[in-house]
This record gives sequence, C-alpha cells and structure tokens, in this order.
Amino acid sequence: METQNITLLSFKIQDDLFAVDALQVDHILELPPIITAVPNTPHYMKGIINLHGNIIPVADMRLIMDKEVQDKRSDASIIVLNPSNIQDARIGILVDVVEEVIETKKEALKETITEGKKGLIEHFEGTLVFNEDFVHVINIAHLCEIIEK
Amino acid sequence: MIDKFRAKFVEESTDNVHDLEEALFLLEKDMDNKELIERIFRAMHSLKGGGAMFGFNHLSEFTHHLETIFDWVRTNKLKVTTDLITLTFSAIDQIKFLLKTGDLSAAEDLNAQQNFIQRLQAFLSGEGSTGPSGAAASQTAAAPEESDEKTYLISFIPQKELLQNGTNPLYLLDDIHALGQALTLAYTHKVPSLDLIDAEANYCLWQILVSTAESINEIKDVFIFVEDECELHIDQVAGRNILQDKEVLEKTEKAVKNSTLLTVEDFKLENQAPVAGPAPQTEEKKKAAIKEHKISSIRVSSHKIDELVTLVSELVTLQAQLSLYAENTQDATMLSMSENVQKLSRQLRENAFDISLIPLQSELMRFQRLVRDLSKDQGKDIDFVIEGGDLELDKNIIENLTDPLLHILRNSIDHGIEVPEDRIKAGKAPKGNILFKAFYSGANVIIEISDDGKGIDAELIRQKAIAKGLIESDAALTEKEVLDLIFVSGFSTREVVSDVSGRGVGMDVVKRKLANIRGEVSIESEKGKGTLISITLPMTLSIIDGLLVGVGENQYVIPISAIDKLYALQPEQLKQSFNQVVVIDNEQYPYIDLRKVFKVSDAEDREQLQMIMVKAEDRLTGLLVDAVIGEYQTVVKPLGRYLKKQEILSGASIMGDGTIALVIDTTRLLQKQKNRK
Amino acid sequence: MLTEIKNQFYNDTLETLISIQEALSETPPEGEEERNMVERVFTVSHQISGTGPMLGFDNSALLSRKLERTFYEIRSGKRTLTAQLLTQTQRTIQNLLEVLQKEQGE
Repeated sequence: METQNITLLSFKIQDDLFAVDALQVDHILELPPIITAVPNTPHYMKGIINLHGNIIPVADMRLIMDKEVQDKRSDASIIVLNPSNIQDARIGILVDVVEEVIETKKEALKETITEGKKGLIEHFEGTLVFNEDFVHVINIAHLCEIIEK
Repeated sequence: MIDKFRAKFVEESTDNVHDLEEALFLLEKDMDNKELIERIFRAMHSLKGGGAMFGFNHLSEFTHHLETIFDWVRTNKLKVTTDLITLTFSAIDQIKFLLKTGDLSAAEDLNAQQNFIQRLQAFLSGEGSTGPSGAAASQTAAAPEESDEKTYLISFIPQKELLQNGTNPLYLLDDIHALGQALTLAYTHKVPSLDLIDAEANYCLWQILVSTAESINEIKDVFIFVEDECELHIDQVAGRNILQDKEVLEKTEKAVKNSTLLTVEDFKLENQAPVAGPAPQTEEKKKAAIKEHKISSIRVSSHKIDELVTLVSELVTLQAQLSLYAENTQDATMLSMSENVQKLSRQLRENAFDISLIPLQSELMRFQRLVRDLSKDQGKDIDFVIEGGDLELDKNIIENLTDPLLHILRNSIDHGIEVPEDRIKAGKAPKGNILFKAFYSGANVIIEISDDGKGIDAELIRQKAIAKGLIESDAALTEKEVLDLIFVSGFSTREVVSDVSGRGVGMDVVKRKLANIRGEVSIESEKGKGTLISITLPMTLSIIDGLLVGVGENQYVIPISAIDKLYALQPEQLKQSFNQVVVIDNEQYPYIDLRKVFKVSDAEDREQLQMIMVKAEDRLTGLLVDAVIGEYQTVVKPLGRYLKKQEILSGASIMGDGTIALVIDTTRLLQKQKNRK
Repeated sequence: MLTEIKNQFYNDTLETLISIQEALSETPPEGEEERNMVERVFTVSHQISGTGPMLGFDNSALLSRKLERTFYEIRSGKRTLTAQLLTQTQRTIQNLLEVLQKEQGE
C-alpha cells in the first residue's frame, strides 16, 4: 500500500507540459466549431458547449495561465473534468494539445519549482520528470476554485 | 456501504419524524386518540431501533426515553397534556438535530442533550406520580373495548408440498395463539379418500381469528419461512376483540360445517356495531386510504429523477434534430416515423416532468409548527387553515419556496394577528385566522396567505418612504403602489419595520428569492381588516415558452410570459430618440439595447431592428434586438456554478440543431438596468 | 472424494446449526450480540444455499434460502429481528437440521 499508483493525463500549453488526474477526466473533445460565448463573464471563460444535451462551460487554459492566445489551434482539445469531490462541477478546459496518459507512482511527484508565473494558478500538486520533460500536475479542485471565482 | 445505509436511514427517519409531527398535531386536537398515540410510539420505536443499528447512538438513547414516555401513555400510565405535547415537539427538534449531526461530540451539545433527557425523566417521575399502582388500576378499569386489541382474520392455505421440508403447520398455529386470544378453524374438506392420499402431502387449510395488540407485521413474521409454500391473507376485521361475540362464533361454526371460508365481508357487520363511538369508521377508511397510497407509490432518489429529466430533455433535443432532418429529406416514411417519435417523446417528457412534481404538503408541517410555536410564544390564539396542500409543484420550486413562505407567515403572526385583548377591543373574535391557500390558475400556481389581523397603514408607509427618499413628497401614488413599496430594497430596514407596519421585514428579500424561481409576489391590505399576500409561480422551472431572438452572433430566448408586444422599428426611429426613450404609436417607452448589454460591437449598421416590449412592475420596457427568429418551447438548463456570477441569464437552451441559446431573465435585466440609473 | 466433501460439509453445517440453535434458546440477543447472531445465521444459510445443491442437499438448500433471504434483509436494515422472527428462525433451523439429516441418509 505504500506505493500509490496514479494515472495522469498530460497536455501542452504553449511549450510547457501539464497534467491532471486522469480519473477525474470525463471526456476529451475536439474543439467544436462553435463555443457559445456567454456575455459578462471573466475573460478566460470561452463560453459554453453542448455535450450530449448538457451545458458545459469551457475555460481557456492559455488565458488562465496568462499566455498569449494563438489564432491557429488545429490540435486544440477540450478536456472535460468531473471533479470527484465537488457536486455539479463539470467543466471543460481548452488546451493546445492532449499528450498522453501517464501511469506512475505518487512518489515520483517532486515538489514543483515553477520558473516564472503560471497565471492564476498559485500552486501545483507536484512535478514529474517524464521522458526528460517536466510535467506539472494541476490540482483540479484548485483549478475549479479559480474558475469559480 | 454502511454510509449508504446510514443515508437511507436518515432519509427514512426524516419521513418518520414528519409522520411523528403530523400525528402530534392531530393528537393535540384529540388527546385520547389511541391510534395516534400508537402511531407516535411506533415512529419513536423505529427511530430508536434504526438509530442503534446505524450508529446513531445518541439518537437511539434519546428516543428511548421518549419511547418510554409514550409507552406509559399508551398503557394508560400517563395522560396526554399540552405540556407533554409541547415537550415532545421540542424533542422532535432535538431528534432532527441528531439525525443531521449524528453522534454528538461538542461538550455543549452533549450537555444540552443530557439536560433534555433529564427533563424527559423528570416528566416521567413527576407526572407519573399516580405511578405504576395507579396505572394498574386504570388499566383494569379500562373497558375491553378501549384496549388496543384488534381482531385479524388469517387465512392460511398451504400447498400440498408444505410438509416436505419438515414444516409443521401446527407449530405456526401455536405461535399465533401465543399472540393473543385465537380461534382456529381447520378445514379438511380437501382431504381425499384414503386410497388416494399421499402421506407426505398436506391437504388441510386453516383460518384463524386472532385478537391481539400486536401489529399485522408481527403476525406476518410467523409465516415468514413458509410464505412460498402457501397462500396467506391477513386482514383486520375489527378494531377490538370480537372473539366472544355470539354472532361471530355462530358464523365460524357455520363456516367449518359448510366448508366455506370466512371472508372479510363476513365481518362487516361487526365492524359497524362496536360500542367504541362514531369516529372510528371514517378513521378506518382514512387509514385504508393512506395504506393504499403507500403501496401505490415508490421511493426514488431525487438524483435519479433529475437524471431522467435530463435524459428526456436530451431525447427531445435529438428528436427536434430528427424532424429537421426528416423535413429536409422529404421522405414520407421518414417523416411519419419522425412524427411518431415526436409524439412519443412529447408524452414521455410530460410524464417525466409530472414525476418531478411533488406535493406542497411535504413542507406544510413546518408552517404548522411555526404558527403553533410563535402563537404560543406571543400569547396569540390563531386558527391556521390550509387549503390545497395536495397541489403539486416542481421540487426545485418547492425547495426555494419554503423560506419566503415561512417569512411571510412569520410576519403575519408577528405583526398581523393581534393579541386576544386587542382583537376584542377592535370588535373582532379573540381568535385570529390565517388562511394558506394554494390553487392552479392556468399554467401557474397561486399561493395566497391571508390574515384577519391589523393590516397595514398605507399612510405610514408613504410617510416613511418619503423620509427615506424613496418617493417625492408630492408623489401621487395609488394605495396599491404605496403598499408595493415594502418590496423595494432599501425600504425595509429594521428601524422602519419595528415602528411602522412591521410588514416590511425582509420583504425585498422575499421578492428576490421568489424571482429566482420566476415567482411574483403582490400584496393587498386594509387597515384594521387584514392582509393578503399572493404569490404566482410557474408549475415547472425547466421548461418555458420562449421567443428566440438574435443579438450579434448569439441567439437568446426571452420568456413569452414576460412579453407584451413586438414592434419592427426603422433605424431612424432610434436616431431621433434620446435618453434611451423611444416613441412608438405616440407613446414613450424606455428601452434597453441588448447589443450594449451583451457588449456586441456596434460596428455595422443594423438594417432592421426589433423592439420587444416586456412588462415588469406594471411598466413596459423595450428590448432592442437584431432579429426575431421564432417561438419555441424549450428546456432551460442551468448554467452551473462557474457562471452564476453573471446575473441576467437564467440558463441555456439547446436548439434542435444542437446549438445553444441563452435564456434571458427579464426581471433581473430590468432590475439591473434600473439600479444602474 | 465427493463423499468426503459431503461428509465434511454435513458435519460442519450440523455443528454450526446446533450451536446457533443453542444460542437462540438462551435470552434474546441485543445490540452487538444481535448483530453477531444475524451474521451467523446469514452466513450459515448462505453456505447451505450455495454449496448444498452441489452435494445433493437440495431440500436443505431450498429451506435455507428462506433464512438467507430474511436475514439478508435484517442485515441490511430492511427488516428488524423481532421476537416472533427469532421463534420462527428456531423452528426453521430445527427443520433444517431434520431435512439435512434425512438428505445425508439418502
């Protein structure tokens, strides 16, 4: 029981790699042709989409992380998160590219040292070295909290 | 796993507590009603038992003491008094608390609990001083027809195979006899002639009349392990012991002799004859009705219903896409199929929404409690009458309705109904009346709360509003307009309340909360005569008739119920306007440009404009949109927690082609616009 | 081989049932004790229902299924263990013992 397996889903924002707990991922969607903008909401809220008859709000991770928004986003995807400990809290996050599913041990996570600010995100769950890259693991509850503010 | 059972226990116990409260209310009016006492006892008993089983130890301990009290009551050791009822009411509150919190840990909670238990015990030692001896006396004194014995007719018709598994039916009959006085009728007419007999088969059947104070479940338990191998009927045939009745004995003899089984109908006469009094018959009927109701309904978690409604909405959306597609193909088969699907899904939708409606009844207990407690506290005598409690509403509406209603009722009691002396002085009956009335009116539900209290002095409200700077001192307002001022935020601050009408307390909050569920509230009052508050509600939240309009790139839905008229405008008409006022048919109307509200760039000139007149607070305001697309019935879905900050949209709707339209909350939109000014 | 298993099962079950029967004839259990009792009756009836048919104890299994079902309900809080139920349980276990013996003899 000492070593706890974790499954992560990694994705790219600009040049950095991030990941979230894969068990809390509901869907991965291609960028739909229309995201209905909702007026008078924070700038990072892209709008809402129709997912099998449910309304899912979508937040742009680039804007949350204070990055420039690029025009061409052919690989962009929406990761629909379903936070396990919050009710009715499904939310889509718009990312540049979804990378892969990583199976690892919890111990492999090291304390995150971020070079430069990551926008609204104040802290990470940890950082993993994977294929000679740093993958910062985002705490979904924390992310939801930010978006909800 | 255990948690699931705990949750289930809490849910069921909440029903139990509800039942307890209801029975207690009835008991207060009819203090000698044995059935009610029994009902209360049973509810406490199951709370105690379940509590222990699911780890609610404090709850179990607490109800144990209460149960003891009501055990004394039901065995005539203790009389029902108003004090006892009041004590039990507060005990119920404690039970609710314990159900909510589980076992207590905070020292002060534990102390409070201990004190309460001491009060319960004191009640037993104090009140029960007539004591066990006196009790014994009263028990013997009690006439047999007053005891809580009932007579049941048990028909036990085993299959031939009964004996194969070693079951000895005689044991079962013994066990029934152990429950009380019993009379067993053995029917042997099915036993074949000797040469045909199978030694291992059973050919007998039995009927037993048993008079017992035990419940029907206790009797059923006797047969629990043979129920697969027999036909079993257990029916109550009399509310007392009828085994001595001559008529009954005659009937049983005849039944055995003729080999014709007794039926419940055979006892109809006895049922009507008893010396007990006039009431029980209707009581019995009512009980029967309640029982039937229980069997014909099932418990489903609200989560499942929400899911069903979501799925149905999805189906409706898909069906809209299908008909769109079918129309494009112009294929006759396709069209007729699509039409059928449409019919079916419409019915299904209506059904699903019907399921999500719950009766208002479920909340009424709280209102009765409030009236009872407050009127006792304030020394007021109030007759609280409820009409239309069986009316059904969307559960989300009911959830949001309770607080405002409680608030209105509280105001009626605190500031409406006078104390008896004052009422007599005013030439009224000393007992005040509050009427709670709910009824359907078209697609709406109307709830009225009226009282015959002191009413509201419009003049005082007017003066206060002037003092507060809410109206000009020479404003010509009708009385109704003056009364409506109490719904304006800023009017009903506490200081105003205490010295003026009192009615203002938080009425702006009430109005706002009701607006959340698309409800509207209005008030009528006559000084000295009373007050009527009327609430109009939609029957369901999730579906609306809406007008689909275009603003910029987005589509929006405006509820039809809010719309008065539509006008097509020429851009010139606006250019002439100033100060956000437009002149149509020689009338001036204020208007709101939705492009501005939704921050759509105004770059290209609009060729055509549509003005939608919406009504709010008896005034018309125009909403300027780019295009009117059409009328739709749509399912409104919530925008969810992340978008709750924006205020003027009440949800989103998925259109037939899968795109999303946003639903505008006109009330809030106008409110916000007004506040900005 | 099968006979051996059958004998083993028969002896074990008999022993368990008899010890339950003894416990039941004492004062009615309460609280923790009651929970234990419910668990014991459920477990043994579950075993008979499950393994019985494989070894030819068909009637025993039929009978024990009733116990199993009832005690499952008690266990999950859908039914309370009343005094009456205890009495009927005693009777049924007695039956079960007899049927088991009969089937073992066959």
